[in-house]
Amino acid sequence: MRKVIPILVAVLSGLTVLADFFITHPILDLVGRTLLQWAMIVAAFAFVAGLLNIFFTHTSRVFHREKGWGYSIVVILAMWAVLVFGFLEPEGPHGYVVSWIFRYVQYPLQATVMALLAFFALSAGYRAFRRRTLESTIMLLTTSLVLLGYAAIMTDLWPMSALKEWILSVPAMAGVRGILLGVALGITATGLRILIGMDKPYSD
Amino acid sequence: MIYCPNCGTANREGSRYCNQCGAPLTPEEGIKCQICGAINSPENEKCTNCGASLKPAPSPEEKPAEELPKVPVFPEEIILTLEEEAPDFLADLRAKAQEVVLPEEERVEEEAEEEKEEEPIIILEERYEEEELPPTPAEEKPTVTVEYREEELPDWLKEAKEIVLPLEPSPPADWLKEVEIPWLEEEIVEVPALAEIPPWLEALRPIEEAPAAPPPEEEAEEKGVLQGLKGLLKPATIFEPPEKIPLRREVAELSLGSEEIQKLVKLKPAAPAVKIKAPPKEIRTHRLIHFILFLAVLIPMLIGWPSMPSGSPPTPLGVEKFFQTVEALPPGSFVLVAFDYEPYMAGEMEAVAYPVLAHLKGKGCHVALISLNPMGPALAQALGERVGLRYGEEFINLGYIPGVEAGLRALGTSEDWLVRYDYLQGKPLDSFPAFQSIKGLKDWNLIVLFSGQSSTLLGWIEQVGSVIEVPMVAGVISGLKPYAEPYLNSGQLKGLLGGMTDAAFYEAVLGKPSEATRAAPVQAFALLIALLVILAGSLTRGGSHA
Amino acid sequence: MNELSVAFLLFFALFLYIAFIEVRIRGKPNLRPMPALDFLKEGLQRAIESGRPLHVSPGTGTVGEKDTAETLAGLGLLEYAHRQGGLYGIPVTSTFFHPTAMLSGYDFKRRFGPTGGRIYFIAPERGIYAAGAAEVLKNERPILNLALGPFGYEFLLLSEAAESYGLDQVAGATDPAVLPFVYSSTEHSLIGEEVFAAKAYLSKEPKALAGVIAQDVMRFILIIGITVGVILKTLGVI
Repeated sequence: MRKVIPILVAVLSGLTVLADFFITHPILDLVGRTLLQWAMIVAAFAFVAGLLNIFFTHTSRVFHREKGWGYSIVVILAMWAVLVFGFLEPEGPHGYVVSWIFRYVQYPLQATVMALLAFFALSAGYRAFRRRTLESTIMLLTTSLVLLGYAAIMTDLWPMSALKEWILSVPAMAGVRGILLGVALGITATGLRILIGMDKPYSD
Repeated sequence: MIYCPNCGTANREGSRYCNQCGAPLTPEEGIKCQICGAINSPENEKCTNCGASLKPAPSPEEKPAEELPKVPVFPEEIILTLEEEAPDFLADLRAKAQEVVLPEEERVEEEAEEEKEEEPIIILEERYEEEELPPTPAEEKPTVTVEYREEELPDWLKEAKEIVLPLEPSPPADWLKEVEIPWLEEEIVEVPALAEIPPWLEALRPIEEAPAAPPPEEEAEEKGVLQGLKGLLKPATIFEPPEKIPLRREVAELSLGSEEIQKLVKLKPAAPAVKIKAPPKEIRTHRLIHFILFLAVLIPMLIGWPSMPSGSPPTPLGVEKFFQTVEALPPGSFVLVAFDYEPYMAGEMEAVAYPVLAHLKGKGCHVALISLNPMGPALAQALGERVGLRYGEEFINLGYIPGVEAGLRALGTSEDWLVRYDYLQGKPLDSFPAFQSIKGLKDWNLIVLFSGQSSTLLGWIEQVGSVIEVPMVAGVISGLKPYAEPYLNSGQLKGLLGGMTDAAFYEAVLGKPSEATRAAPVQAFALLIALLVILAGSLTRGGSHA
Repeated sequence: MNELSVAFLLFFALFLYIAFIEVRIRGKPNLRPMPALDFLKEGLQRAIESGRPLHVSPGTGTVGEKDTAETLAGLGLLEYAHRQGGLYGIPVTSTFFHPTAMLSGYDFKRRFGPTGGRIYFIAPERGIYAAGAAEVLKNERPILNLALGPFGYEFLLLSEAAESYGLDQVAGATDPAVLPFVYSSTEHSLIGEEVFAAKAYLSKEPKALAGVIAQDVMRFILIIGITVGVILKTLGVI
């Protein structure tokens, strides 16, 4: 019984939301919407567990003087600062301090970190295209044509731009569609396994 | 201590009677034990105290001959005396049975003696152990003694005398002396004279070392548990550095006579014909690549080159459609703008969103900012303020819709407008006069999607676009453009901006150059440099794929 | 269109169940070799020998939203790592993007026993997650970096960080925009639907194998349907 009830709840909830997608009925819509709202509330409470994990993990690292424990102190202090000001200010998380932290600390840092992607993409490509394989050679050829197409904006090499558009629209899109089909089938199989109770990602 | 001869109890010295049994401890007559001195009664054969035999040990001279096992004698009833007449054959048998088998030499001698002596001689047969070999003539022969009790021996045997075998080997017979025994003679082997040792070999003779000095006498331990012991190991000091072993030894010059060997010893390796250069240091390739790309972005930004071409380049179709869709909006239209990108994509997405918001502002539209991302409202607010939109009149911030797919489904299927409060002040939507007429999703005139992920873009198109008739346009990062173009082709999207390049074209069409116009050519130049770096790397030797 | 979708789902579910029964009766089917997963098993052996931990990242997705299935695929790999870690004493360190996935990590730790590795919840922001996971790689110095699940462009940051620390990697993603980065930055990669087959390859569970078989059959049906539709459309029939 202990194993049957969770499976039963999962199957019934999933089938109800799935039926709501296909069937239009007031009661079914209400039930489906309620279940989705409950899911959002549960996911929001999971953030509390995440917060506790951050606090205890980094505190443990500081106490045990593990490698990089100084950064753990910064994490703990930043977490407490945003929490405290978020609760103290009348506007809550939209208050002045939290907004200032987001706009002048978090946002520039994040943008900078992702700006590094360009450099990492170049070094990864440099490493990949030096391999002597057929796939790498085709990838190199395609990359060269597309990059030339992007660079054509500042020159009169408009045919390169048209070639780039064709490469992105036709052969690349064909490969993408094939991968997306396979991924969609995988997602469907995984979802159906949970819906019919064959697989459960949770424990007993 | 005195031990009681009766019960064996130990009593104190000087006691006369046993404390246990009361027997006198000093018998009047007794045998004193030679080992422990205890007095034993005359009847005891062994001492009651130590168990030693009380019979005096015989002196070596008086030591009788080794008692041999008695010869089995015939039972009395069948012993025939010599006085009776025995048949001759029986007498012979008797004599033969009692004969001793002796070596041939002695047998000969014995026979000689037998002939001499008239009285019969009884010789006991020697018994040999199985493992023992027959004794050689040089070995000492034991003395055979026969002892019998008077009453047992027959009369004719009583007169038998001791027979003593010779202890020393008898000298060899005269006839034996004449026999030559070659192996007994010493062999004289001539030793050849020492050969002459050549001088070169003589030189290699090892130098005789002086005899090693005797090890110093070790001192005994003076204190501690091991006091008095010698030959103990010294305690090792843990932190004492080891003795320095000289790396080179001075090789003594050999006193060699051969010049050839001298040449061999003194030969030095020939100097190499070509100098070998040290290998160059390994270059940090990826650091160099990063530095090249950094310069490719920094220098054009500083000098302002390259720039957008002065001529009118052909505008991509998606950009054209986007512009036309926004341009067709009447003044006062309600536009819902979704900011579904995270801060790490804001660098490119703000360049795409800025000209669109500026265009909407120029058209006099009422813009509502919404997001499926918790960080989206803050980004939207910052951009709206930067564009110059007045909050509450020209734009409001509707905040964050949780659940992505679920939230969009709820938004698209509900009859009423779900989001009732604004993000900044928490006021109900009805409190804003410009937005009081919004009752449901169908009241919006246009939905603009700024998306950095395919999930949010597809979610809006599938969950909302499929259930309402409100037109949608999208501005996405350049990497997402290939995924959005099919929706443009199918008509589900009325316009598409893909990245900073399309944004630059939009600004060109709008006639208001801004960030995208400055950044797009620099981006293109950096991409060209990156292509050159990749091509240069592919031409060099690389590894094979695993 | 909705009726066609419902019929497709019903047929898929039916065939999934039939495939499950077939696997239970006939045993494991022959699967094509996947070098990335073979390398993963070698990495486990090296982890046993060296005592260094494994790092598992189930992607930057959530449980309960659009990328739930890919996240579950990544969690399947994490479950396998925890199972092996509990058996052979391999520390398993895991970093999470969303707390809903983190709860599964604690669940595996409870089921298979503590392995000595840590569970890190970084942040529900992709750029921050990649930076935090890179820092975990630097501090923990695992012997193998396993990154499987729904990733975005931040994958490149994580993989390049692992590459700079000299770590071996096995990575897989489903987003076609990210796949070029996966292929170029790691030598052992899983592309697209291979991510969903990883659990079947590693654990050999009948239900996972049934999913792989059902996917293959449905793919053939779809290919045939698309081909027939293109031909008919070209001929002007439809």
